[in-house]
Amino acid sequence: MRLSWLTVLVLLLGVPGALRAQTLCELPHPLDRLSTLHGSVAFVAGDGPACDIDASLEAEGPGASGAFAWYSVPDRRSTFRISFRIDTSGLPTLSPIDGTEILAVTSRHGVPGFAGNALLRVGLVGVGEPGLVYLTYAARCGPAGGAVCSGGTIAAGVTGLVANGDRLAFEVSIGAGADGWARFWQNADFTDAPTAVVDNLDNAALSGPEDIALGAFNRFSALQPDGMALRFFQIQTFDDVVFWSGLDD
Amino acid sequence: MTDSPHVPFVFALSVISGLIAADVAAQTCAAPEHASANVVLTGNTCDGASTMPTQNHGTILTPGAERVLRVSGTYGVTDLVLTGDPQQVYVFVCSGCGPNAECVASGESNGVATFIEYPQGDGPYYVIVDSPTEQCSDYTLGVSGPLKQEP
Repeated sequence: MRLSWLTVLVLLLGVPGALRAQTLCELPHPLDRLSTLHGSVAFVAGDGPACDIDASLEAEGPGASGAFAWYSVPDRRSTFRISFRIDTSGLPTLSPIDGTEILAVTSRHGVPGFAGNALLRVGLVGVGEPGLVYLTYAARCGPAGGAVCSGGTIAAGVTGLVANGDRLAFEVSIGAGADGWARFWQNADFTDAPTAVVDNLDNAALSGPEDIALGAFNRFSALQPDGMALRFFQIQTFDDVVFWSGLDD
Repeated sequence: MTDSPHVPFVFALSVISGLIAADVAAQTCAAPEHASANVVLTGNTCDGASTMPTQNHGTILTPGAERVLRVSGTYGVTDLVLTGDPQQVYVFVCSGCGPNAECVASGESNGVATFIEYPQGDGPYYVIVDSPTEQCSDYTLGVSGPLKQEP
């Protein structure tokens, strides 16, 4: 069907305001798809040109909940970086055994065992104060082990407190070289010394980053069944093939 | 997807005529079970192998063994009523099968996962019982709705 210029003009002028508002921001490419299970998620206009992500999990939802943006690459990447700021003002006051995960960097090639395809998982747990949470991480260690891998195959720990508006940045490098690593920066640039490092991740078992999810998912709600709402803004995502842009500094 | 208040539904299932009771070995993505609607499946989360350490784009940790049913959708609403140890058993409805597949409905033991099917050629779907732990838990999954058995 061919449209006349007049028809096109009428269509453009007639686009509802709500629809135009949805297009006023650019998707935080390549995070361009949304997924929800017992929650809601949306790309929303924020202060910058890139869309923010609003993600919330319904109250009293199951652990099998999720509200996140995601993307999948056709082939593994050896290195992946993402940075964003996080608005925690929509979280209820969480206890130390309540929380949610916010970032999953995974391989599509699962291996047996706990978190068997997880390159890096990042979560938030409460400290009993509004809007204040601890940042947690988990990654799969390789045979060489390391300081944070001793005694098991999973490196897991807590990096520190995260406050409303903090900037978080992560780098995952797995699938090339002898051993992989994950690095984390809080309110710092990639050029600064990392806030935390997990070395000796399992290159042999994990083929490299293939799927990325950012939002709220895999909630754990021992004491706090309220809904959880998070906003991610100033999102920047890079991988080493499509979007690598000189950040290897 | 949201839960629906169908708590008595599991009891209604038990009196549905023609109800099929099944207790078969857990299956995998490569060799899924086939089941039609109005079926009750029983099992244990340690039956079979764990080949999917996560579900739904790698976001939900599921280190337990899976049970996989391949079904096709027709328009309608299907309720999957899962009973078992609280928070030890999950059920997913996914449009693919694997640790990073897209899932469109979920629930946990002692809850209902309501799966709303769409009429325009969607499917097949995979109904997957999985566990967030490596502990062994008995479960019963009641499926009611317009699911079709896939060959």
